[in-house]
Amino acid sequence: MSSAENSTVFRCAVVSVVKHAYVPNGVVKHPRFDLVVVCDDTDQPDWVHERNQLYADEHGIPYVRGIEQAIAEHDVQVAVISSEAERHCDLAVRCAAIGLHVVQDKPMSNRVSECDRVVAAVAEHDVRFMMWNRNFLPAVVEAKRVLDEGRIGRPYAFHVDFYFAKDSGPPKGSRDPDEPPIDWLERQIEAHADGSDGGVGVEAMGELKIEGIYPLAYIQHLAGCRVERVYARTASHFHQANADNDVEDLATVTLEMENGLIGTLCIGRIGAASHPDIGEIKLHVLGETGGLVISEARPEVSVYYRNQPPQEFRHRRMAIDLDYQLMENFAGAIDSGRGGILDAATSRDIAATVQAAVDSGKSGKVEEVA
Amino acid sequence: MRSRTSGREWQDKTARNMLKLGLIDSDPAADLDWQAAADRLADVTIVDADAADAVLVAGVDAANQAAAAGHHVLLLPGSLCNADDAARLAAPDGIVVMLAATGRFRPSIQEVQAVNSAGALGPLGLLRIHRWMPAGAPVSIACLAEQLDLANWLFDTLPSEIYAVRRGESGSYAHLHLGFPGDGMALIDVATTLPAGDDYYSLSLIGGDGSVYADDHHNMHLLYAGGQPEAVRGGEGVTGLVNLLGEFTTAISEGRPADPGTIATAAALRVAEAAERSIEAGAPLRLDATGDGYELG
Repeated sequence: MSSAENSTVFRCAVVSVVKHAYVPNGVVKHPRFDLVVVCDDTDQPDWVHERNQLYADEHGIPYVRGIEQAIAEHDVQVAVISSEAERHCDLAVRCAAIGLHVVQDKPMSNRVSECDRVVAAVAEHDVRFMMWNRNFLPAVVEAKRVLDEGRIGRPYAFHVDFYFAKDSGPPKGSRDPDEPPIDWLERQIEAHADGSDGGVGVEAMGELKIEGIYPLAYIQHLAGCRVERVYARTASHFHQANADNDVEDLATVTLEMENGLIGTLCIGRIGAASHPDIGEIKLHVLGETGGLVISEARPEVSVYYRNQPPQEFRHRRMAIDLDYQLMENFAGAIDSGRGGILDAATSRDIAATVQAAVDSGKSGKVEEVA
Repeated sequence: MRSRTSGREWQDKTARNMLKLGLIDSDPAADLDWQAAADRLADVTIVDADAADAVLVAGVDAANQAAAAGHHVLLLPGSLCNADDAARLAAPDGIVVMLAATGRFRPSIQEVQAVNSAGALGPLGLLRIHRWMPAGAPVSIACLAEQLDLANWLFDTLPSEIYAVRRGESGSYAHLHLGFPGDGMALIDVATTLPAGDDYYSLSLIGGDGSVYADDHHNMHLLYAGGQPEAVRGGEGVTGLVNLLGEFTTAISEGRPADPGTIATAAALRVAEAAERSIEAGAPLRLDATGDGYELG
């Protein structure tokens, strides 16, 4: 049954929206979800209030300083959280405690202990939780279909390349030794203009924490298994901000999963010169009777013309139904009272895998996933 | 019969110091490729073994016998099972002994290395290789060494860390995770679990200033014959063999070792052996203080 047969419309509070706003914008692509208010804690810095206010103004909804007050006054059922990373889980726990279902932006948190709080809160208050993800991109849907049909037999190895061909401030090695290190939060606030502020927060995060949930969610979605052991190599290879803050912008990860399955991940913010589009994002899956090679960007349309701005993508993704399908899935989870494409427990496991990878990159050893 | 060679080129070939290559341990299908490669070179011709001054053989003993008899030697890939085998290879003065592995000589890989060695990519960060084949045989040390030789060549050094995992009842899948001095890292997986048919190869190399992708996925044509279309690979023909033979003959004429030589082959085999030890231990190995071997820890 499509969730459209249930006409309930969920009223959503945008609980802090300090990054690029793809999550709340995606939520309202589904007719059963309405944004009714933007809210945040009163003690947030001015730049946070300014961004919240701007988003509220753009969408013609009020901005309320005071989360619990806003929720009480606007009859809200769903919280859409897109704050700084270190606040994600605490906001989710507070919203779950009020009985709200939660849609949360990545990363789940920069601490696994915070993720554990969310898992407990969601269970205790019997609400649904979804980490924003890309599992319903057309190419990933196709990959899942092929595997489910048994076209390559039992899959045993999953490889994902997840590169963002973007710059992130000045290149590594460009800072004068007499200049101070780049402040992470200031850099992220500045990066808002070009949409590369995925790591916004006080605590610096590498690509594994910022983007890792997307490719790891692919592997989890396709393999249906938990990761048990991780070996990783990490480096600050490209960007001065990453080098100054000791967080990686390039990583390779070996994942040893349940049932003897293997996964690997290459992830990096590899610089705008490295690819004409957002990056070479691919899935390679080996099964006992075949193999599958998937380009995550497909289908796409190629566009070239005289005087084309250098920053404009030449190859443009199309037929993307991700936002609708994610929210359709979430609506179904709310209606049925269970499940969902990337729930709290699964998201927490992915966060633990990310942490194990970061730890392995520093220790040089194989790390068990907590 | 050299139907593709013009009359003028044929005169040039006869005038030059022609290398006569005997295909001792080849098979009929491969013979055709070697012949096609020789057709494209002015200074190589395929002859019967007893008339040859260079031979293609399998196995270290056969190679050493041929070298001792004064023949230059092309050694079939897979002949070297471990680093000890490589160490047993003899190359008397004036004799060129070369592994007939086309990995470095494929046009796509040569393009990758040309860009890399010109410095266009900046400091290397990441190499990713997928090598998937049919057959179901165990992934051998020699097979791993072929890909590891590429990694060593592209990074121009040996890996400083190795972690490896093997899967499949017959060991038909191996995954290697390498760290290189500085920031470099590599993931290589080799599988022999594809069904009968074409293989698949993908190599991507990412540096601080750019990247290069050599991927069969990018080079597929489509065949529509009912149902879902079939992918048909735009192959690289025998150009890899032509390039390999070109290096072999040049090394002979210049009186120098071939590049890659047996030292590079032995180094790749040592790394592959370290990978096997990592698989057994379930832990990474590190380059030891000698810079020539690997140890746990």
